[in-house]
Amino acid sequence: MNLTSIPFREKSAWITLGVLLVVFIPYFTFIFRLFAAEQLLAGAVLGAFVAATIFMILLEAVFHIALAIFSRSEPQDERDRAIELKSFRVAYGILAVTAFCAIGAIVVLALPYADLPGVPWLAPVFLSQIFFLCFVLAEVGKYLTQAICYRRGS
Amino acid sequence: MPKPTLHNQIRRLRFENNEMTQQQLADKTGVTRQTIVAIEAAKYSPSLELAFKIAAAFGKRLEEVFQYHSGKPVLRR
Repeated sequence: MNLTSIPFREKSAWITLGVLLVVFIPYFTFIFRLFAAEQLLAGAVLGAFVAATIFMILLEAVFHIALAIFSRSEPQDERDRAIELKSFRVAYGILAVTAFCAIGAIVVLALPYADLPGVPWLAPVFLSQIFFLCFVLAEVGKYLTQAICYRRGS
Repeated sequence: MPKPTLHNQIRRLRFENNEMTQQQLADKTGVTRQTIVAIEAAKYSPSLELAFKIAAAFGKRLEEVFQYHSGKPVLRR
């Protein structure tokens, strides 16, 4: 595979996809380990979130600056816009499905025990991470769709 | 029933026009070379505006560059 023949926007999509996976797989692994150990506290989550955000911004900046230096940027044309629109449709679908699944799981698994004190599934910190996971999955779906569309040449 | 398909003569017309490259056609029509590659391979259907620009780049009518096959059988009497 000749890297110079890969369009700029495809490279950008692969970079962002890679950064999302590199940053958020360890992040959510850490979060769910804390939850399993019943140590999911707001301070720990906030610290992990800030660290993940900074790390992601740094990685994105470094790789995209390198991409801009070594690759020729091209203005967005109609096919780029069509691929972007398709990726947003896929991302919205993933977000809707995962969010509804999360809501359903909360209703089925946690709400029957809502009157009991200290139900971990209903802790705001845990719920926030569940919905954040839905958002991250949607973003992964978006950039994966773009990368696949460019790779297929469609 | 076969799916409707859009065919094009872009590759032939490029060679007939002083062996125009895909990049040259892309520059004339204001899109990327990858878009021209995708259109030639019938993997991407251009917008009406872009189709007209491509035809104009070759000095041809639209139907001389793009052909649409509806997939419906043609009845001959």
